[in-house]
Amino acid sequence: MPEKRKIRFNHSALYDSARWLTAALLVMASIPAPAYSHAPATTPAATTPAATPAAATTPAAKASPRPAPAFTLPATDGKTHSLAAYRGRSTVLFFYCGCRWCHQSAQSWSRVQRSGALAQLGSSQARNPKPGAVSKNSPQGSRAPLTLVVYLGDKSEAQQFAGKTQLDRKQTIFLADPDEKVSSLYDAAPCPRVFVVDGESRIRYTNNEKGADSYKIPAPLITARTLDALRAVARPVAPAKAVPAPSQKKPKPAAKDHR
Amino acid sequence: MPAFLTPAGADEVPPPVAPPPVAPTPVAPGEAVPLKLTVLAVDGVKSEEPSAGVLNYGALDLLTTSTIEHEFTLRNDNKVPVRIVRLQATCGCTSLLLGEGEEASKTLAPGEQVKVHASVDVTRFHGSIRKAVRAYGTNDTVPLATMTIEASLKEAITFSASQIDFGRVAAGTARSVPLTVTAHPRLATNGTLPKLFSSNPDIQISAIPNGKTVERPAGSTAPYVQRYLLTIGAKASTGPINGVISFTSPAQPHTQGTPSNFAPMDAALQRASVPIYGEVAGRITAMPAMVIFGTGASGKQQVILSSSFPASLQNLKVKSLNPWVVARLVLPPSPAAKVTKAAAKTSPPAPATAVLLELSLKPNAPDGGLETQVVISNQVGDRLNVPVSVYVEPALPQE
Repeated sequence: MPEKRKIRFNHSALYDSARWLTAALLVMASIPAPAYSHAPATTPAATTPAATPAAATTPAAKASPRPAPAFTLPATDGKTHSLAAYRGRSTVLFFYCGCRWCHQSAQSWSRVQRSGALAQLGSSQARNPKPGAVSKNSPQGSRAPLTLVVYLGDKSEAQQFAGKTQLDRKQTIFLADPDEKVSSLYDAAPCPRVFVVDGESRIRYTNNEKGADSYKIPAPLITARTLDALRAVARPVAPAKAVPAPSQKKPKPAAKDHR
Repeated sequence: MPAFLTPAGADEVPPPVAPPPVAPTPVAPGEAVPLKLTVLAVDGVKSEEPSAGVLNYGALDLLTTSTIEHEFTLRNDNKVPVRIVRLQATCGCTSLLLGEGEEASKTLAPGEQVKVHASVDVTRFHGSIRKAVRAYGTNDTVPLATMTIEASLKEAITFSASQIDFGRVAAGTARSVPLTVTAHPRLATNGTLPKLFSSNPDIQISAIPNGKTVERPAGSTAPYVQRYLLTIGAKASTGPINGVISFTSPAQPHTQGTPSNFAPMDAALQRASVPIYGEVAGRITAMPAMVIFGTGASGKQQVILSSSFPASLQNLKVKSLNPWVVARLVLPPSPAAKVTKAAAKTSPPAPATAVLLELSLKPNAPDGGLETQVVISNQVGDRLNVPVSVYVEPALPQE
């Protein structure tokens, strides 16, 4: 029998290594995740046409999602709504001030609502439910993505905006943010701003073209990018490849003594 | 920094009388207090609190006013210097300038004042507006001061409805919806308003009564009222009813926003529009009723065509009206495939009740928005238009 070697742990070195590793982890955790830019998250296998390479090549496409700040606001329906109430369901968060750009963005998005594209997304999510997703009969209701409009004004102004836009009332909740506190929380200026929040309350997309200013981007393009992001969120997650368990071969029986 | 817009008709205003400095709030030792700047309550500005000022312009006629602006005055009433790092408006309609020139930041000594020029393009709004401008220091979350501009806007043109909804119209039938336009009398030339257009060729517009103009006394300042009848014809294609009613000819589509060099009356006519909705229901329906690709990055899109008349789904033909959009039918496997040969001889295969339409975008489609249709037809006279929309992203420059 070979002599067992004693392995001595260098406790001091190990402690130092752990200390540095812990410090590194703490530093990394304190750095906020970069804002997810306009390019939606696409998997390498996405059927991206050659005409739109931007969606797959912008650096922000690789940014990781960050938690959506929680908030509670009064709505034009007289109730108070919290973002947390819609956990398990994708939501599209629009920040509008009532200017013409906001109107154009809202009208463009209303086409998406009326086309049935969001209901189609809800159906696809029903077929491929993700962990934590709500059921169709849950209090949160349908699986189709919900539109939340945070209006930078009081309830009466939000009501006025709701009446002038063609957003579907059945798919949209109009929230009033007169003090612009939630807008500040999301750093949503300037308008129009949109955030796609997944069922786990993570921001998966936002139009943060601060350099070009979001209001200079055509409303149909804001809508198109938002819809792409929603579809990326709804896309079924490829199951992780099963890692074969290490083979647990039975130890060979000891050779019989054939004496 | 945004350009400074010259005030329209600015007259000489006597210099404001600055109120006495506000004594800073006493602070307990060791207690951190967020620094604030005082918004001076001068020139009509009312202070809800020292660091928040509101200027209410009251009612504005959009035919005579395109921009409102004001010069707020901020003062540092703290005992320490305060640095203004940035000004933030929540809307791109508001232009801001700090100080006398295009200063990116400004440090105010105790007691020092600085001007903040705020200019709002009101042509981009409906109804009432409330635009806030915030000054931030090194603390990016708590503003040093908030300056708000309010106004109530009087539209030059209003429609009796915010949208025209034809509802569900059976194919082969016509339907009419009334629309009333109320306009500022200055917009009427020789007693008539400019012509109203529909971007949807299936919708006709006729003025009531019978196209004759309503007689008005000369020099009348009362709003001009004109009634119209919007009619979707019996030959309209089946599918969603889309479009807008406006004073802009479809040959000259709306531009994004309103150019700043438009005369107020032209701007009022250009921005006045009302969207059209509805559906012409035929025997074939599509779900979704409209295909929106997004940027096209999501790949192929699918539409389920169904009908309560199975015969309508037989021998379908598909035609894309745009060469960049490819449409093809994906027929379900025939139930007859599972039937034995002997049974197939005696009973015909059951017709499909749903068919899948698959749309895809060809590579290298031109950048920009693309609006088109895919037409589905059969041999029994059914025809369905499926609108298709895509906005192709411009390619990033290669590094």
